[in-house]
Amino acid sequence: MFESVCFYLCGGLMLLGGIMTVASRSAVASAVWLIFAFLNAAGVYALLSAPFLAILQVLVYAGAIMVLFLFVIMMLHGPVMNEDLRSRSRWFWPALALPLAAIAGSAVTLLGRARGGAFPAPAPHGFGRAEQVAALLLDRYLLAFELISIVLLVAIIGALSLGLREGRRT
Amino acid sequence: MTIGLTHYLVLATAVFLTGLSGVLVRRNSLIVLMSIELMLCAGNIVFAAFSRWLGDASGHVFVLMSFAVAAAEAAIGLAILVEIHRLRRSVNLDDLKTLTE
Amino acid sequence: MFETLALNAPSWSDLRHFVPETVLVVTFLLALMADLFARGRRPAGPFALALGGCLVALAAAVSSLPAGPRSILGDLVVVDGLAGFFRVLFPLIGAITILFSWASGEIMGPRREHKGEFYALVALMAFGMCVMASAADLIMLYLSVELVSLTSYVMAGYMRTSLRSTEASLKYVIFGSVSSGVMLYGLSLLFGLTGETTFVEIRAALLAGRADNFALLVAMVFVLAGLGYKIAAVPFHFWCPDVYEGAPTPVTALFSVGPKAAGFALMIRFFYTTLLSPGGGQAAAGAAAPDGVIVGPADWPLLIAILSVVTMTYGNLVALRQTNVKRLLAYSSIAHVGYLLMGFLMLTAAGLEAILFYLLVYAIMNLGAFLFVIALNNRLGGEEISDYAGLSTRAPWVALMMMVFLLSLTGLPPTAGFIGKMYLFAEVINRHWFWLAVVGALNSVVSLFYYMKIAKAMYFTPGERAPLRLEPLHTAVLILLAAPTLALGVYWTPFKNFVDRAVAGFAGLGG
Repeated sequence: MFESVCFYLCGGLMLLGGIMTVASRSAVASAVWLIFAFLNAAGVYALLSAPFLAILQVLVYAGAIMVLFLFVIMMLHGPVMNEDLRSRSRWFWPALALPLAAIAGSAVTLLGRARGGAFPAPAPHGFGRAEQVAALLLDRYLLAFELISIVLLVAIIGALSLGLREGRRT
Repeated sequence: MTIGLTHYLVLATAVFLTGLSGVLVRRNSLIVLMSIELMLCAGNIVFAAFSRWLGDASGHVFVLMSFAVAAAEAAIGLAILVEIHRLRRSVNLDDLKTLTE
Repeated sequence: MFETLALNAPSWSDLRHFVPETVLVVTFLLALMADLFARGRRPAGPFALALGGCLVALAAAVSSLPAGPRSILGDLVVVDGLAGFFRVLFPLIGAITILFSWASGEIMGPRREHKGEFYALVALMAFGMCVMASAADLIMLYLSVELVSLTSYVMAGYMRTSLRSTEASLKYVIFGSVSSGVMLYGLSLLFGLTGETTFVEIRAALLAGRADNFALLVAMVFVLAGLGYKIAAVPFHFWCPDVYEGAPTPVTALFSVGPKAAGFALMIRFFYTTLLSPGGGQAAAGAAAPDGVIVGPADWPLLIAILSVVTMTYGNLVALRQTNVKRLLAYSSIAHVGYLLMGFLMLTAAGLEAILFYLLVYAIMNLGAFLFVIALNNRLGGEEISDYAGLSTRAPWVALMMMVFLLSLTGLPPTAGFIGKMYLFAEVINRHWFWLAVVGALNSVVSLFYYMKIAKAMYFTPGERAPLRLEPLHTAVLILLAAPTLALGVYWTPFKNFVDRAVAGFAGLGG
């Protein structure tokens, strides 16, 4: 019972946050709604017995990535644009309907497959805790871990390379 | 009915669709980038849900990687966006017309 | 403590089989550090390091061609014949790109700091592509694709004061992130359906009938969207012409061959391993059957055949009305992806051999054609077809070499492109896909028209008469690329043998 309430609360608010992110007129409002959605996503992770992911979701996503977004929005003085959606209305429905049908279909099949889909209760002791994820990450997935460090290095170099002001030349 | 895999999958599908429609409909590239983050988040929830269902934490590792990739993509995407804004004073995707036939 | 200790835990000794990749990463880091100390107009240190690193990696790859499939580093990567082939190809492409960027005005011209970054990024991209070719796990699939993509975004926006370059980069980021988001969703479904992350185990789960058919189809199509974007197959190609036109030409040259080949490598490994069960097919079902049994419900070959036809037809028809050479070559590269997909859907060893051979040939001739554009852009400052008017009198040898590349891209004898296409079409006809062969042949005829538009401008349109001298380095590399394009059209046996050995050692076909 308690789990149901939590799920519908977190899930519903997350979806609301997502919809408002997409529907807000100004980028600042979008970003704030997205933070809201991500905080609720952390709740969803907690419900899925993934405490480590829940914490990272707050720290990395809501904390770091979204702050970056907000910084950029402030730097660009929060662009509010008049988007003429009407001119694109020709494209709007087909573009929306196609993937919608495909994914909704897949969800329905998955529904059937999962046979009600109740989780094997309860989760094994320590499941989804930092220790277990670390044990996987630093053992079997070590190469992936190294690769991700290079990906982040590229991101740093890229941001510097693209962002360094030209005016600094001497 | 107890909350199970299906519920999470439906939630993830809905979030994914929201993000995708944002990408397709919005012209403000900042909001498009945020919609992409939503799509990634939906994928992550599916991973976490299946991990729980299978009792296999490999999915968590995948989510972790996807966090890092999302951060990297956001950093580079925003850097380019700032550059575009400096050159053109606009972040509207419809204004990107230098490269059309 | 937990049940996580893998059977094949990664160990240091695994790196013995990962030498070219290791060399490339170290090269990247060293070149990056050297860049901090680089002085002067051109960053000689990073250039020399990156070029040297690529060549060492190439030598290491050639000297250690893997004998049989070997699953290493926690089963995340598999080193087999296919990986062996591509780890030769990618450092080679990297080295050529580095060489001709050195004299390119677009890369070295703009007054910016840290030009050496460019060379470091090329080495890193070669590394990422090598990893793509040997990925054997969903995580590696995702990460290697992302690594190559992120590097590409940075390189596309390299000329950051140019509106075209920056715009190309933004479009690339948005299309790229969307398709990688779709792919991530597909991967998550695949993980859930099968409960596994390595390709081999996914196949085992699919063979055991653990996955729902329709959901599997959706998951696979989502993954295909991510990979299709990497190879720029229609309908995932939208970014391609804009990025190719907007990015600096040396970067475009690299994009048009590198990530495409890597995308094919990954597609081959992923789809052949997960959806094809080796053995039993060829002998039992006659000549028209693939070398194995297709797992799953859908008629995958037909699906890919449709994709192939749409891709090549679209690419060729739109290329017809281009006037910008970079954009024309972009559409022509889309068309070439269509031809390559024909080989892909045969699901046979001979089809794979044809793809690999064509990729090798395509890399040489397409790099050549782009190098021509770079070399002339340095002198003429433009890349419209009309800029090349009267080139046959201004620089006869350069025009002649471009002719060789154009003939080869069309697939006319006596060039390498002809041999490559011959192998592809032969296999298509062998497997009784006659309609596909006819469409492909018609497309090749269409492509003749737009390639010859460039030739016509060079040879028959009068223009300036003053002789044109190119950068010596560019002329040298042009010769280096034109020679094999001609030579492989006459004598190709050693290369064919090399490719055949690679396919024989490919784990996906039971090698």
